[in-house]
Amino acid sequence: MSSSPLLQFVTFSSAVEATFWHTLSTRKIDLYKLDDTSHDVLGYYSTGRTVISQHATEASISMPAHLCLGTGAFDDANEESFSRLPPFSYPSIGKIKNTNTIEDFKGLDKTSLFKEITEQIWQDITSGEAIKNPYLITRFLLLTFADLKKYKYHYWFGFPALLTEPPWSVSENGQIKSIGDSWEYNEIASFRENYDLFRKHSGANAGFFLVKKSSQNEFMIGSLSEWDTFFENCHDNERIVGFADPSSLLTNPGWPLRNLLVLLQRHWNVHKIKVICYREIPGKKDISQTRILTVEIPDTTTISDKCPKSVGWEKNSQGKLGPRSADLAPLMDPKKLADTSVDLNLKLMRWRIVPDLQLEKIRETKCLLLGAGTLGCYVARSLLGWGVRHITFVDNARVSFSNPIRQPLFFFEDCLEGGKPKARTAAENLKKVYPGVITEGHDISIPMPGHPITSESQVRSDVEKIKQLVESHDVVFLLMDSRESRWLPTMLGASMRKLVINTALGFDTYVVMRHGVKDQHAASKSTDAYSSKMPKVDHLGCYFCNDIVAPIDSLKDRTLDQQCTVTRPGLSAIAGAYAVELMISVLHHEKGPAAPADTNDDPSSAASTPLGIIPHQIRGFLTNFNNLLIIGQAYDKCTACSDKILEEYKINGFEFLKRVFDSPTYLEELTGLTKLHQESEAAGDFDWDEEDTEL
Amino acid sequence: MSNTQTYPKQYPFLTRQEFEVAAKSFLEQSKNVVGEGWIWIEHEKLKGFGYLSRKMIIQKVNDSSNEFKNEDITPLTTDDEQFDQIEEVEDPGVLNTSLETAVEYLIVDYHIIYSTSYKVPVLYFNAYHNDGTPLTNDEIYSCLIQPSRLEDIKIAGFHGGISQQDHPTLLIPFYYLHPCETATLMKSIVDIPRSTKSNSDYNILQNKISIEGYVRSWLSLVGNVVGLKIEIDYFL
Repeated sequence: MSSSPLLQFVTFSSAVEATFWHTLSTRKIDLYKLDDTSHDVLGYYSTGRTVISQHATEASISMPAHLCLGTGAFDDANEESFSRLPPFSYPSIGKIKNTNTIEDFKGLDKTSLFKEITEQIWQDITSGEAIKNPYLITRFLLLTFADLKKYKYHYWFGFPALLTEPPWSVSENGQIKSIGDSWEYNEIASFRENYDLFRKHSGANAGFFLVKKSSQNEFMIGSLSEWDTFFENCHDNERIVGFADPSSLLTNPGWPLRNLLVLLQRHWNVHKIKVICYREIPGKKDISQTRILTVEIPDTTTISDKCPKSVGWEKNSQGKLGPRSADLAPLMDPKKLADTSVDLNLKLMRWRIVPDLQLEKIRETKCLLLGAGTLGCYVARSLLGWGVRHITFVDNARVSFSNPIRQPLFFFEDCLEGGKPKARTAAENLKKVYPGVITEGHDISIPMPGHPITSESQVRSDVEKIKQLVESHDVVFLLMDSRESRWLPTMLGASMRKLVINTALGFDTYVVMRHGVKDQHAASKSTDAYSSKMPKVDHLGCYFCNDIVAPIDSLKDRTLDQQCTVTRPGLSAIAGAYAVELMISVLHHEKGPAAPADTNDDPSSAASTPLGIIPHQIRGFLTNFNNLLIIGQAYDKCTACSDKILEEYKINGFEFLKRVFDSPTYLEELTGLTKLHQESEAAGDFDWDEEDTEL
Repeated sequence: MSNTQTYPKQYPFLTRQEFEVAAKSFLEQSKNVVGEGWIWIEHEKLKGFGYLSRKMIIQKVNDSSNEFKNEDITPLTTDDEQFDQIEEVEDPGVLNTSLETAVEYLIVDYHIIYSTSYKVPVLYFNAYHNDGTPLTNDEIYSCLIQPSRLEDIKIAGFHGGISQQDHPTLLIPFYYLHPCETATLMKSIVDIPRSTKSNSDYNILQNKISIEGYVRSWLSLVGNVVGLKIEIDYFL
């Protein structure tokens, strides 16, 4: 007897469903408010089971002894709410104490709260209430603090188990057998059928029961309250108690048995009894994992009228006796929800259509949008669509009454009182579209060649700011409405080898292009998708490479209709979208901004990126709804990106820029264009067509 | 299986009333044949707006070869280090091993809800850790949709794929399989190829799926995609 091994019980482990936290939050806000008195909660548990793996390589899974709190946890404990619990589960009543502050939570007299529940269990046992309603012996305690601002939930469960002195041990040298090793097949079947019947009419109390063998070798089931009559003609060793056992371990029954044994000892002076640890595979009519054992304590053991000591605080994931905290922000914080949804949406593209899509790279790409007008707004929206998180606007204008109808980041209110600054307003409104975006707006005028400087200190600081912005971003979008304002960022982008995407609009025509960056590791032979019709271009040009005139003041002699960009309204949405898609494709090329241009638009041939080809320039004509892909070679006399200019900027810095801004002819002189003009005029055999300023 | 069978008036679509009949028949089948823990949850206020619900516990998949493994996975359950511990009396009766440390379990909720706009059932689902914290998108994919099943998504014709939106009754975010292809799918499984039909019976569906059999047939096609198997027993 003294050699019998101790009976060790598996503790409950808590499982809280997200809906429980949701309900707690709404009740805290709408119902409890600052009232922090305790409330009843309704939990449940199911019997333990081990899922035997179908595959030899996978281990079998022993289900943990979960005590669950779900949606209906705050319903009053009655037959109706019990019936709404998941099938094959058993109720357990808890007390929740939700504090108003974290300090209150820390300062709770946890020991006395735990003792309160312990005493409640003890009282139900001594009064006999627990015989009528044995589910009361599984009472538990839940301490919580709900940080509703951060969606963080601090919580701690206690499952009081009354201690018996000395503890229970397992008879027959600790033998714990499976039901199949103890009983015959038809005995098991009759037990199962009778238990099913018992469960149907016992409701909440089906978790604890009596079992005996009838004269017909059939196993009968009774409720605890029937003890005296049920076991009337039974010998002590023919009495069996059963309980729905949340444990799935072969050698250890679950927590509810502890208080059941105290109840048996207290009321019927039980010192030794056979126990059925009822475990089923829900709905499979399979109870083969049920365990049977005999437990005992010395028959001299008495139980006093005083409430015994108790244990049962749940440990945290470190195995220490301390609270846990759950971060529900991803489910509850609207901003996080937006993040998740955006992320999911984009990932679908990768999971389903383009497995090589580099979403992380796109997300990390920092985009500088020079111009927060029609193009700027559309480009920003398309970038958001791709999950780009860093978008910076630069513009010097204010929102005017004509803007909102064409520029989707502005509203009527933004035009009032002289209009808000466009760049900052675009950033603010972009955040309204998606709060997860990192965005700011800078009210800066971009200095332009041929526009003489009025305040040198102002221009110096503007240039410095623009330089810093280009430097701190990965992609620069040129979305302004004049040609010459593109010069400085084009030059800066070329000198810093940034990806520059340039978009310009005519009335019904547009150009979307990327500026070339010289490939420093150019292979002698290209493997990219070239069609033989096109000459090979090793360094792609910029916006100014095709021009043989330097940018000068094109705004000076314009009439009003020329100063506004007069375009077909759909054009900027089209061109803006092309600009963004071009950027995305370039990001997918291993050479990035230095990627050679593809001209092969034959869909059957291999493309250079997972998303298809990367053109240099897209020129579109809305008159006949047509696009042309064009390649332009970098021009060694280019006024913006030629080595000569970049070298000059490198050496003379702001002094060089100042001369450019002040003198309309300086750039042409420097690059040798002046000389070229003179030569061609001397040759005199053709005229240069004045090109559309925006094309 | 029920002996009386009725047919949807506008197969492959179901009316809300037909859905309720379909759902409750499925519930009966699940009870009598294998019983997998499905329950019907009535709407608190609106009669006829109930849905089917089922809870499952699965083991968390930690497949190191999985491409989603290293992205954005931050543990959401943490211990509160800032709190004092509690001393308990020595208890020889407690088993001092924790199942938790070995494997992590996830709770998966499956709900079958009627879609008024698509007039078909929709499978909603969500998965949580033991403390109710949700899985990340990547974890949803790696735990519920094993790589081998990704192909199923395509085969089952889920061009709408998996999205997230508020649960129509609980009003909290749930994942769901977009129903835009459900009707096509349900139609395709009863359609007889055109070539085998004569012109005269071209408009007649030779095989129909009854209202009573609708949910199990549909679920057997789509459930597998998100880890919900429909046992063959449903069809015996």
